[in-house]
Formats: sequence, C-alpha cells, structure tokens
Amino acid sequence: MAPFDISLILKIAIPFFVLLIIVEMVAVKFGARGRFTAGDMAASLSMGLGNRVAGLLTGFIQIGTYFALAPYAVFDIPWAWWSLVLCFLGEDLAYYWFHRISHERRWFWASHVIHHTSQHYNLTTALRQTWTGAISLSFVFWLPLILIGFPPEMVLMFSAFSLVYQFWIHTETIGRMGPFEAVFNTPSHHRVHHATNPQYLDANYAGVLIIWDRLFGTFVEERERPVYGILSNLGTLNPLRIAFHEWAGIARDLASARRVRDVMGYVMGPPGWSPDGSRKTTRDLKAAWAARKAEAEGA
Amino acid sequence: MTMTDVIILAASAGGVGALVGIAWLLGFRRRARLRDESVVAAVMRAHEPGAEPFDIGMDKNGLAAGARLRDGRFAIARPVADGVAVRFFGADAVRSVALRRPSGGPTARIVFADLGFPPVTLAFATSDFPSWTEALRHATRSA
Repeated sequence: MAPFDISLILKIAIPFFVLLIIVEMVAVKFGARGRFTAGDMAASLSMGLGNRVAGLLTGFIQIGTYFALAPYAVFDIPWAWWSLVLCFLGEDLAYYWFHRISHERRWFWASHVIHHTSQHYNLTTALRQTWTGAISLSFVFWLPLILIGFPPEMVLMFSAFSLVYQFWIHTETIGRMGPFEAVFNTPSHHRVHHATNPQYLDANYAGVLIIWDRLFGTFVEERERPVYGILSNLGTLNPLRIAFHEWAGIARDLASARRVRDVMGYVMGPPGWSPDGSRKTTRDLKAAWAARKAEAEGA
Repeated sequence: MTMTDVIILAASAGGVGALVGIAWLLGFRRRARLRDESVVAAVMRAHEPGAEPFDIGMDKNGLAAGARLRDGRFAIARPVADGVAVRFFGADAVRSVALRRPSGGPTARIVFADLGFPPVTLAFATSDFPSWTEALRHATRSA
C-alpha cells in the first residue's frame, strides 16, 4: 500500500500552480520575458479543467489496467528506498518514450498535440492538457514497470511528481540554469521542445531528467529564440476544437484511405504522413532546413 | 464521480475564471488585427520560407486576410488572441466557398475541412472580390 494518499500530490500542488501563475503574470507585466493574453490563458486553463473531468470519467481505464496486471508481475517489489530510486528512474524513462512516441506516431500525437497548440509559452501552457489520454491508451508505456513488479501506487506517485515537476519549466521568465541543466529538464530545455523552429523539432522529450535525451540523441540546446506552437497553428481558442481537431483529421483521412497501408500510415505513421508524400513530416522539414542551411553556408 | 469531485471541479472553474480575470485586469487583453498587406505578406513568408503570396485580400475589420501563392496554393491568415494563425492549402482542404454581395460590400465565407481552423468570413472594402476568392471557389468546385 502507498504510505499516503497519492491524489494529495496534485491537490496540494494546485494552489501553488495558481500562485505561481499570478507571480509570473505580474513579473511579465513589470518587464520579465514572457507573453500572456486572457483568451489564450482561458483556452489553456479550460483544457486543464477538461483534463481533470476526463480523468474522473476515464482514469479508471489506466488505473484498472495497472491493478489488473499487477498480480502477473515478475517480482514483488516492496516500498523501500532502493525501489523508490529505481521506480523514479523507470517512470522517467517510461515518460521519455511515451513523450517521444507521442510526437512520432499520429495516434498518440492526436492526444498530445493539445499541449502544443498555444502560440504562447507560460505556466498556463503547462495546464493545456489532453482529454483523450486514457481512451487512446497512452498509459501503455508505463505497463512494463507494473509487469516488472513496481506497485501501481508507486508508479502513479512518480507520474504525479513528474507532472508537478514539469509545471514550472513552462516559462520564459527563467533563463539558463547553469550546471543544473546537465541533468535536469529546465525551462530552457523545454522551450526548445515547444518550439517550431526547424532545428528544434523533435527534441528534448524529457520529463524530469534530461539525461534520456542526451543518451538517446534527441537533446538540442537552446540557441536562437523559440517560436512556439505547432506547424499548422490552430485558428481557434475553442476548447472543443482544440481537444478533437486531430482525431477529426484522422477520421477524415481514414474516410479517404483506399489501402490497408494508407490506414496504417494515417493512424500509426508520423504526423504529416500521406500516401503520396504531398504533406510534410517533421523529418522532411528538418531535412529541408538543413539543405537550406548548407546552401547558405556554401554560398 | 463523488460530490467532493464536483465541488473541487466547481472551485477549479471558479479559479480559472479568477485567473483569467486577473490577466484581463493586468492588461493582457490585446487582440491582433490584420491591417496592413505588407505585414500579412511577411507573416505568410515567415510561415513557410520561400512562399510568395500575391493578390492579398484583407477583411476590412482586420479579422482575416487571404492570398494566392505562386505555387498554386492559397493562404489564409487570421488573428488568434494576440498572434496570427496561417494556413497554406489546396482546394481539397476546403469544404465550401460562398461569395456574396450584401449591401455593405462583397463577402467571402470559406469553410475548412480541418476542425482546428473554423470558417473564415472576409468582408472586403473593395467593390469587387479579390481574384483569389474566385479562383478558390473554382478550384473547390473542380476538386
């Protein structure tokens, strides 16, 4: 059993979230780097509220799966200091792969894209969260931890800690953080992740520890000022359109699919995949940018 | 969902309203408007390096702008909060184009297939439609 009520982690964090958002707004008002508008903020916070409603309605899918699989675990891992350390590292590694594949495969991107739809980058952006995470089975990336034998409550606890940790890194008001950046995910690292500058695409997927990006070759350092949003920015602040636009896009594409290969490509291919290659994936865009850069340097 | 959950959600909704209110009071209420063709052209070029927009048509209230691109595609820019969202698209991305001539001047309403880009209505200050609207309507009918 967990030594405390895990749901308290978020409940305790929320008042601090509110306080920090107000502090950031006041700081920006008085000249700190950052950008706010009431409309964008309302959209982000509404998505966060909707995420909580969705969690109450569909969270049982994730939690139920964890507890249903726990009896089949290979080991019976107790709550101990060493298991907490291992579970923290395992959860953060699972998060890295969840996050990376959420950018690389359209099925998972359809849920995750919501978090990237703001053209702003402030603490309210952290709360712009999906409504379809559980029903799209995004939690499968954590199942290996359950099957190894980590208690579901322990995994859920570190997932909650990771979520809370990632709140504060959604800001432009904090610059670089020196040696801390070698190991931990920071505002600078995560600004790169939210940017649409070609050289920043598909980078810095870390949750708490940036070491995973360094290890798997997806780390990019912040050099030029990021431009935030997605490649085809939404023309709306309507939460319903934000929540479901990519799912509607998948449905539209599937209606036009003629072959099994097209169905697979539209659902599990990279975002931007199309049968004839007429659309652009992030890989295409990075290649075009690299070619332009090489041409400019050669000229 | 328990009564406690409902109370927490209601309090959270109140918190959202309060935060948005504080943002508004602090003056974060700027809304972008598109007033200048050269700005629209620059925004479109920034969206895709190498893009060459022409025949730009502006909504007279600054709520949208459209153009053709040299490669045959079309472009729409619309303000979203204090920023601008741009789409480059072909006729297959459009559900319908309606061109009308009410007494206030010509209007074009474009409905996109993408749920993330709501319908755009442009009211033109000119007496005629910009040629891209006619071209888009023609291309949409042919698609």
